[in-house]
Amino acid sequence: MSDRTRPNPFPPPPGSKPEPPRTQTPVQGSGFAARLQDASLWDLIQFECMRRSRRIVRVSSRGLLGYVFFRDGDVVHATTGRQNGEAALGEMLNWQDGVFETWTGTWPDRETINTPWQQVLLEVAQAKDEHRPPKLLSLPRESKPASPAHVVSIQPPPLPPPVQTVTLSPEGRVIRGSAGSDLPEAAAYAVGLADLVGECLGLDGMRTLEAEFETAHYFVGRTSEGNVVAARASQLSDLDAIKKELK
Amino acid sequence: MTAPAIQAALAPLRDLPQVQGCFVVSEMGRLLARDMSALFGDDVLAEVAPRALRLCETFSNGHEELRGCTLKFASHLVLLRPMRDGVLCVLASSDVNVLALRMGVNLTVRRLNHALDPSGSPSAAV
Repeated sequence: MSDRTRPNPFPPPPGSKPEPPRTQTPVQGSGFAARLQDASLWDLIQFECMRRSRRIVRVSSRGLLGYVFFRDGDVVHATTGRQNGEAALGEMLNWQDGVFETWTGTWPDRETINTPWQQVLLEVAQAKDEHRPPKLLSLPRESKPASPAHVVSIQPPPLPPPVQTVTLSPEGRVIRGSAGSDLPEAAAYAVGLADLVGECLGLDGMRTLEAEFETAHYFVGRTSEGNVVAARASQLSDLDAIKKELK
Repeated sequence: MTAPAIQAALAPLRDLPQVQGCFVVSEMGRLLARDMSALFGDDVLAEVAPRALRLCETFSNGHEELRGCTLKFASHLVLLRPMRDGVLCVLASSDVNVLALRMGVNLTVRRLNHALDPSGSPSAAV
């Protein structure tokens, strides 16, 4: 496992003046374009909005992916594998941990958030305090907007489906992730076979295995502790974060 | 299908730097042809063959065909590429040029598919 710090995008409720997030690799002239450390998603949203930047930030957490679009001092669009708009932003703000980074993707044809960002953050924070779901405008993926007056002609941008991941102990016990799917079994079996192939050919134990299909790919790797991390994703999804964990 | 034609299809892969060799596994998991160093005996490859085939089947969901499977070890990688009636297995050092390897494998598979064509084109029958 690398020494990369996993920032917690969750903790503090909004209100205090955000500090500029620190970066691992400063990029000259662009503010930041790297993985952020010691900053929460709450901080990031306030910081980006105050900077009035036009930027896409990708948020990943435990196999889930989301994107936040900033423009002219506001969050104008957010999307996850399940939701679009305010609800997607609320969903990301409730993720327990994860990583966010600037993303060079395409801008959506139509934006999905008209509500001021302060209002959205406040509603999410209040809902959390009151242990209730936040009242946010939810736009199902691939559907028309519920309120044309609030959100005009919305078409969600294409987003890779979420990555499914699982971590197995050397004995094949599911430590984390997609129990209930066939991914753990497939990964455990594949690792065993790959080790045997390597053994026959006089090679050390398998480090990683990648299988590519037309629309999906699989990645299986072994951590330094001997655990097996497996992921299944669409070809469009980015498994870099998982691969980096194994380096 | 002719063994010389299959053998001829395999040989050019070794022109790629860092490629140690390759072999073909039938759809029944049998070693069909090989272009590997004598260090790897037929008995060794016969053990690898059915496992390589099963590896290719492990992640298949029935809806899509596997494009390729890459196993990375400390200093080597094994690339498995399904083809008509079998799997092409390539052993290379881990510092191989992956793009060149993919291209080489594509061409090899094309030749192998041609060689394995039961209709037996004139070039395959040589």
